[in-house]
Amino acid sequence: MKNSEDHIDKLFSDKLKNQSFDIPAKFISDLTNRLDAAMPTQRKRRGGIFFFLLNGLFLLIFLSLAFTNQSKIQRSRVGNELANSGVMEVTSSQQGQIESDSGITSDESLASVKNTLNLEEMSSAGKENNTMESTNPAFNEQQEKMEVSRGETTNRTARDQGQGSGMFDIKLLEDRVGSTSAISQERGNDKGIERNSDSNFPPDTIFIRDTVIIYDTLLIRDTLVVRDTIIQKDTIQAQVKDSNKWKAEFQFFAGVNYGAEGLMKTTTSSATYLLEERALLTPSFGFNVNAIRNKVSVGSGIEFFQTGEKFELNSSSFTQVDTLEIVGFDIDTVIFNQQTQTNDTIFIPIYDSVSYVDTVSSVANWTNTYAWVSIPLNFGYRFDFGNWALISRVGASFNLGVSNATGDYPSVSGTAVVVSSIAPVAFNMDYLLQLEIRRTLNKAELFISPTYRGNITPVIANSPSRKFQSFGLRFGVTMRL
Amino acid sequence: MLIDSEIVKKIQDHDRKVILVLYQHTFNVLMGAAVRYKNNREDQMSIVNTAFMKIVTGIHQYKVGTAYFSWAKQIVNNTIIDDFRAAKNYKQLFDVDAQVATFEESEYSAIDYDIEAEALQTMLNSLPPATKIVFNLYAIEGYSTKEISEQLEIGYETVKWHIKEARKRLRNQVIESQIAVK
Repeated sequence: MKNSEDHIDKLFSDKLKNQSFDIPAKFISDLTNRLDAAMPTQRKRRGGIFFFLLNGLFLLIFLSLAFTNQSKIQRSRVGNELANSGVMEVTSSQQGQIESDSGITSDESLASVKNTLNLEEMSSAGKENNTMESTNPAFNEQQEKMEVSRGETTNRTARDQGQGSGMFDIKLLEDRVGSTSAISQERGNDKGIERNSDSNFPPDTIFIRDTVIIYDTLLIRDTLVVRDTIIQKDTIQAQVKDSNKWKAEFQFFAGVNYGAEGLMKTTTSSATYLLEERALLTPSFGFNVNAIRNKVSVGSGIEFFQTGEKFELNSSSFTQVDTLEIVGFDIDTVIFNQQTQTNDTIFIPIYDSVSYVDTVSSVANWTNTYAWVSIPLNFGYRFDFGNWALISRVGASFNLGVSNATGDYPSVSGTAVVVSSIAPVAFNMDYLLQLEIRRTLNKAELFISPTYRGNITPVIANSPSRKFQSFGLRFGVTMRL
Repeated sequence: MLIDSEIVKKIQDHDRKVILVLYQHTFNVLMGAAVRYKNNREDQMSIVNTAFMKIVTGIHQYKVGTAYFSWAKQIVNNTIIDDFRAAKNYKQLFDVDAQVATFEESEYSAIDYDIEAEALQTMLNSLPPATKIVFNLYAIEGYSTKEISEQLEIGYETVKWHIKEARKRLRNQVIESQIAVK
C-alpha cells in the first residue's frame, strides 16, 4: 500500500513537474500592460498626439493673430477714408452709436466704424451727460505727414444751441503738436462758435469747421458733430497707394529637422524581438523668394532636406537545455518509538530537474535616410513690433526624391524577424507650418523660424507605410529686392 | 541565462528587453505550476504574470548565485496559495464532510508509468479544488503536511485526509485508463 502511494505521487510528480510551454501572445500582451502600469518609463507612440497638438498650436497662433490684425486693418482703412473724405461726423445717441454724415453713410467701410471704434457710454456723477471715448489710429499713423499751421488749428470754441444747462468739454488728451490740437468748448461762452443751421441734425449738434487734427484719444461729452477738412489728403493717399504695391524679398536659410514617424522613441516588442525606432536629426537648406503686399506674402523657392529614422533591433533565439541541480536537502530523522528523541539526522539531497532556456541575443542598428529637393509654396502674414516682426506661414511643399537609397524595415515572420529593403516614392507632398521671427537690420532682416513639416502622402507607399513628421529650426537672412 | 548582479541591476532599472528575456527564461516554471492549479487559460495567465511581476519587483530579494528557479517556484506557489486563500470561505472547501463521497480503492494496484502528461493533468483537474491544491503541494511541489497545514491554515489531519483522498481518486482513474487501453 505504501509503495502504491509513492508510485502515484512519483507518477504525477515526474510527468507534470517539468513541462514545456510556448508563450501565448496574450500572455506577453498582458505582461506588457502590467509592466507599463508598474514601470511607466518607456514611452509609447505619443508622437501623433504631440504633432496634432503642435499643428493645432501653430494654426491657432496664425488664425488668432490674423483675426486680431484684421480688425486693426479695418479701423485703419476706415480712418483713411474718413480722412480722405474730409468730413467726420460723430453723433451721440442714447445707445452710444456713431452715425456718419449723409454723404458717407452709404459707404460700407464707414458703416463698420460703428463696430470698430471703441465707445464707452458712461454717466458722469450727478449729470445725465454721456461720455464717449474714441481712438482713431489712422490719425496717429499720419502724424508725421501732416502739416497744420498753427493759425488753422488754434483753439476752437463752440456754442451749444440745445440744452440750457450743463457744461461739456472736448479735449485732446494727448497733445502731440502743442496747442494746434487742443479743442475746447465751453457752454455759455459764445465766442467764435457758429450755430448749427442745418435742420437735419439733432438739436445737440455742434459743428467745428476748418482743419482739425485729432491725435490719440478724443473725449466727447454729449452730442458732437465734427465736420472739417483734413489737409494733407494727398499725402495720406500716396502712402496708402505705396503700401499696396507688390514688393519682393529673397531669403537664404539653413537649419535642422528632427523627426521620424514621431519625435518620441517607440518600442515594439515580443518574446523574440525588441524593436526601437528613434527620430533622426537631419540638415536642411535652401532659398525662398517672397512677394509681399501690405502684410500678406506669398513665397516659393527650392529647399534640400532629409527625412529618416533610426532603428535598433534586439532579437533573441532560445534553446531549451535540461539540467539537474540540487536545490536543497531534506532532513530525515530517526526517532525512537517510545522516547521522542532524535537519534540521528540524515541529509537527503533534493534534486530538481529544470529546463534552462539558453538565450542568444543579437543587436542590429541602422538608419534609413531619404533626401529630397522640395519646392515649397506658402502664404504668410506679417505682424510688426518695431524692429521685430513675426510672420506666420502655412503652405505645402512638393518633394522630389534625389537618391536611390532604400529603407530597411523589419517585419515579423512567425517568431523570426525579417529585415527587407523597400524603395521610397519618387515624389511626395508635405504640409508646412512656420513661425518666422525677424529682426530688422539696416538693409536686411535676420530670422529664426521654428518649422513643422508633415507628410501628406507617404514616403513608403506600401506596407509598412511610413509618414514622417519633423520639427525644424531654420536660421536665415532676408534681403529686399 | 545566468541571473547575475548585472542582470538584477538592469531589471531594477526597468530594462524592458532584459525583463522580457527573463520572462522567457522563467515561463516554464511559472506556467508549469499554474496549469496544475488552474484549468482555464485566463486564470493561468493571471497566476503566471502576477508571479512574474512579483519576481521583477522583488528582484532585489533574490540572492545572486542561489537557485533562481527554486526562488521563482517559491514565488509562484505563494501566489497560487494567496489566490486560493483569497476565495471567500475557502476553508469550507477543505471540510471533509463536504466531500461528495470517499472513493473506494481499486483492487488493481499495479500502475503503468506509460501515461501521457496531458492525461494525468486531466485526472488532476478532476479533483475537487481543495484536494487538488493539497495534493499538488504535497506530491509535486514537495511541501510537507505541516507546511501545507500552516500555509492553508487548515488542520494537519485535514491535509492528510485530502492527500489520501487524492491518491485514491487518482489511482482509480489511472487504473481505469489502463484497463481502457488494454
